[in-house]
Amino acid sequence: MNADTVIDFDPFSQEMYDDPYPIYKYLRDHAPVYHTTKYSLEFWVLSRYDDVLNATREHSIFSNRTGGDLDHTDSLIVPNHVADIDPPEHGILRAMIQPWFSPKRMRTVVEPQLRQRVKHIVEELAHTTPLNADKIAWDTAMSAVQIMHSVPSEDLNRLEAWMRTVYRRTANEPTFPLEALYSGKAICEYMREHVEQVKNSPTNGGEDIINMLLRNDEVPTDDQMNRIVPHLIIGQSGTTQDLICRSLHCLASYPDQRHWLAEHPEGIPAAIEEILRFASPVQHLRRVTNQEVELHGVKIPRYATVLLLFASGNRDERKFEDPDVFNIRRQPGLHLSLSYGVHHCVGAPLARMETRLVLEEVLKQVPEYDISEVSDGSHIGGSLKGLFSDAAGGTELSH
Amino acid sequence: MKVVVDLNLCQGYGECTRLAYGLFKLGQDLELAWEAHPDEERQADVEVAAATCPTQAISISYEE
Repeated sequence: MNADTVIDFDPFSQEMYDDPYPIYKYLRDHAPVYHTTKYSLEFWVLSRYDDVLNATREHSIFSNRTGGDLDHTDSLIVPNHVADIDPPEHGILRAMIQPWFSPKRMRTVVEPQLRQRVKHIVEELAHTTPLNADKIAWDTAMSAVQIMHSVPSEDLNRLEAWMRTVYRRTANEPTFPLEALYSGKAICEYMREHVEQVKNSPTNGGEDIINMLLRNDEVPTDDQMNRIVPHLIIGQSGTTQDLICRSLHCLASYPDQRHWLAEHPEGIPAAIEEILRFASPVQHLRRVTNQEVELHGVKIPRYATVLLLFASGNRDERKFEDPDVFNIRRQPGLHLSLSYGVHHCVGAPLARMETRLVLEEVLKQVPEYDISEVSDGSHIGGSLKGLFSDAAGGTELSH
Repeated sequence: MKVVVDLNLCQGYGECTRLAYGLFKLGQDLELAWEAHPDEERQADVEVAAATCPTQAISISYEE
């Protein structure tokens, strides 16, 4: 690919799921503000680290109010959910849930239970070859969902099936599948009923997020609860699972680093940051401009859809030395994978905790685990560049 | 530049440890240690860390 190549950036293409990184590099170097009218959508694309970072911080210019997904998954399932609104209302809703994710609080209230469950999950799966990363990831995520929302055990399988469907897509298909909508709406309806049940009889000693919301000084209205609670489930419908799967695959691909990490588990948090940078589970999210913006000589009009390519910024050599090299001992944490600004991923502390506990247990119990690289067709999931798969035992490694 | 952290507000998110690398460190028990008088060349990093802290626990003063 060179400067004469006419690039056709297609976020829904098979190519993007197989290996988007050469395309991202081309965009950064030759079209840092790329414009397209593909699939009857018109949108602009920012690919350089600094431009994406600045856009995430300038929420008055780059607004969330028309949704974060290019195919509108999130805003069709939960209209005006907590991440789909701008300040000042955004701040009010976010302030209600932020304290649940306090690392100090989670250390005592969440970690002990979650660690026990992860230990058990890994014990059950440690000695099957290849290691079933998909099941480890989803069992861990559903344990976290149960702790967070007090979902009864008998309902977890149904919830998991809906969650897996929400972001499942087919390559070269830009449309949002009906099954994803039905699953998303099923999640909303389930959580609405569940919140009602919790209101009438507090569960789990009251430390789940639903009880915390109900104890808020300003008790959320039903409308606010319905715009917050299901979105917390949607927000965990593949993101953390992908991070966990990618972590297990990345480390297996770099056995020297995996070996070092098994001997130095204190290095796990920094390794997770490098996996976030290198694998970028959420490849991009969407904004709409509130005013005309000029960048690199290109005018982006008002009310334009703009894609922020976190995964591209994460490989920008203008910011990272040897960006395509996976190095768990690199200075950690400057990646764009959890975004920045007011919409910085609220679940980040929980996602980091889940991933850390899985890596601690796997590296303790089966540090030389064998993991498959079976290609069964990528998991394709909108803005998620997923690794996990519903095919039994099948996963695909994508860089 | 003087950096003060309100340890009652600090909840151990660790954004500062990433954004102003080396100037803030979280211990095993999520207790924060920090450089109270960082080099002036780190001013931008420290300001971003303070702005990003989810509990706004970091204050900067610029007295001589």
